[in-house]
Amino acid sequence: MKKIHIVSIFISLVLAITLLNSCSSTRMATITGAQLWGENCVRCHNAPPSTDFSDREWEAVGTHMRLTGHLSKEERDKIVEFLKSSN
Amino acid sequence: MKRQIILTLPLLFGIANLWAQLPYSETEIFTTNLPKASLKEDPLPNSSFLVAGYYTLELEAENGEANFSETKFNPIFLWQKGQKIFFQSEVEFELRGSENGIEQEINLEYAVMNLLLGNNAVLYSGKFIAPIGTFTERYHPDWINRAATKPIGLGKPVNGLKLLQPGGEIGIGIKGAVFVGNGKVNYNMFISNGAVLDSLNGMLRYDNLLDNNTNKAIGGRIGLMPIPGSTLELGLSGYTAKVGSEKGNYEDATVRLLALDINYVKAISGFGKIDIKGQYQTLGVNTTNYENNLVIDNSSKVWYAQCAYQLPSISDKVRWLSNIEVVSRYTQLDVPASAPWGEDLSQLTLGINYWIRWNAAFKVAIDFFKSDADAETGATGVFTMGF
Repeated sequence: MKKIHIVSIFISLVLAITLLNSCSSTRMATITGAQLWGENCVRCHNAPPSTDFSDREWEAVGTHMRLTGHLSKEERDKIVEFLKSSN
Repeated sequence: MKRQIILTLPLLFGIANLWAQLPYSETEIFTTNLPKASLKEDPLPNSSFLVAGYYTLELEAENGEANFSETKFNPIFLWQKGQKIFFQSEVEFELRGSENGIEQEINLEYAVMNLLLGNNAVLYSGKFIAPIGTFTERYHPDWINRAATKPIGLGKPVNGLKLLQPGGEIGIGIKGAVFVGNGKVNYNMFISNGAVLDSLNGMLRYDNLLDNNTNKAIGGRIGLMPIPGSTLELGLSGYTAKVGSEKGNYEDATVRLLALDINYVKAISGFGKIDIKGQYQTLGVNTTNYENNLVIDNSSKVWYAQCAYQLPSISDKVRWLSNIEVVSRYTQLDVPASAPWGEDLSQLTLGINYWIRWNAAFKVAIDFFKSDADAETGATGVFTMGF
């Protein structure tokens, strides 16, 4: 019985979060990749220069940071685009 | 011994300073104005693979002896397939000197397959670092940890106890970030095999590929970032699981863990950078009677508060000053009074770092350990570099 409860809770969470995927904030519409880079990287470590990775590498590093730094896809994409444009 | 350290430190400092004068400086750490070069045509492939990671060499000085006691190499493998699949894994190769000689260890820190579901959610499975508090999950790499040593109970081994919380867990989970107004909430929830209770001494073992019961552990963390444009983050984590074997004397034994954490980093032009981190957590197992008539009130607690300060750039002539960072941290570990695996202990850490790149530093720290019965001091030097 408990197993069913756990699975139900998990499925409900997945559905709720999928619905939330459509959510974004007014701030995200205006904030730049440079600002997000400055705000998010330093939470854990010094902010890296764009030249440390190639454009292709930033794609993988950006997703890695999305997962370890708890970023949304939108935030990740803006930061990666900023770093690639600075390369 | 002290003389050796005193003679060695200026040498390391000199080498570091020469390195720092070359391509990297404080400006690289602080500036948001990255050099703009012409854009290259670089069509992205459908998949990309990257090896990153970090390296660490540690020098420990205790009881009048100094040894290069540990060296580690942690490659991180990243593989992205299209826009939906992402694999990440870290393997630790560790060589450590001990009373028993040289110990070599190879550990799979994590191996996680992620399904990127959209803007705000990622489904993951495999072996992952449990999001309990922030230290173990986010700051465990030596080049990210601001001090040369880790807090007791959160990575620094003491009396046979290394972690007072799950480190690696095997299972599935979901995580992501959601915007609420102008603030942000991140979440990470998982189901895993869970901890296993050692009925001989009341300790918990994590990182279990084989569970000792059909019950699964549930855990997770919610992080609140209430102030737009600020790095302030407040976190709440929890973890619960049945930890005893089924149909045994400990089938109802359950662990409950609660953790709070805070993180705030602020760089101020002309003043420098302040980095504040802290974590408080309690852990309890609702079983007091163990084998061989051992009775333990099995409740433990660990907390730490850490502040790091990186100097500002005063002028170009002494720009190396801004590569210096000082760190202080206080950690308190409370374990059950009659537990055979430890005693209440405090750890005061005072350290200084010299950053030669944004991801590489020489770090030195002195740890003052104090228990009711004893007091010890240890010095640690670390060279660490991310790549």
